[in-house]
Amino acid sequence: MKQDLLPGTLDMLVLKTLTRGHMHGYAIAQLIKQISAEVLQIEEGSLYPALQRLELNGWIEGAWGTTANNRRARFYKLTPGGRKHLLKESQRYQNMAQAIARVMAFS
Amino acid sequence: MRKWIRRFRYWRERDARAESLREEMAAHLALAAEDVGRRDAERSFGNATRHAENSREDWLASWARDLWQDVRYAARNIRKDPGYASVAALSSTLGIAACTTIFGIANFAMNRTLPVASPETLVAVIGRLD
Repeated sequence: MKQDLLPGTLDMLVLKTLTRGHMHGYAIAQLIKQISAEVLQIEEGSLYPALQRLELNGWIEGAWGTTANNRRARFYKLTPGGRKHLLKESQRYQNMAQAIARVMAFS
Repeated sequence: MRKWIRRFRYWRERDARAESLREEMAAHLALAAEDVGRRDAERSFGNATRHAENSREDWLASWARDLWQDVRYAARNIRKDPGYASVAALSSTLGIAACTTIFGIANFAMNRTLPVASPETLVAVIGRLD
């Protein structure tokens, strides 16, 4: 996962996932896996550093709560700053994807 | 600036945060175990202590790294454009010098007591030209 993505992409994916609402780490990883048709398997070893980094930058906020099955988990939510950062990152990503597509279409 | 305040707070609360992170990973493992069974969950999770260390390092090291980056960026820019850097240094020098001089004069003129026996009783000094 770490090596296979463009730098900063994991942060963007996590932020994007959180636009759905409050979610704990496990749910974030599961949702990304499910939506990407199991192509993107987020390792815990990348996910938790990413969550810490995002929280440190003030883009997400974590708080302890309980799941539907009454288990304790730390739930994250997007902050307004995080929303702004997500917008910036997705524009950057789109530019990058288009540039790569252009190079690959070149003959 | 607010970024640095937050980073300092994180740094100060690092032990509580590390504990919270450990708990969070244990909770993650418990949730995964419900889905795929404990053995598979543990296998796929890997070394929780190492993950915790990585995460910790991420926010402990990142502010030292950022600071170092800022310093390097500044040094690089100074080297790249010495003219601009010397103009900046010169204007800082002049600014500081002017401030110091004016403060020196103001301090001498306004804050120093007059060189007479009991200055608090002095009302006026009148000069006369003969």
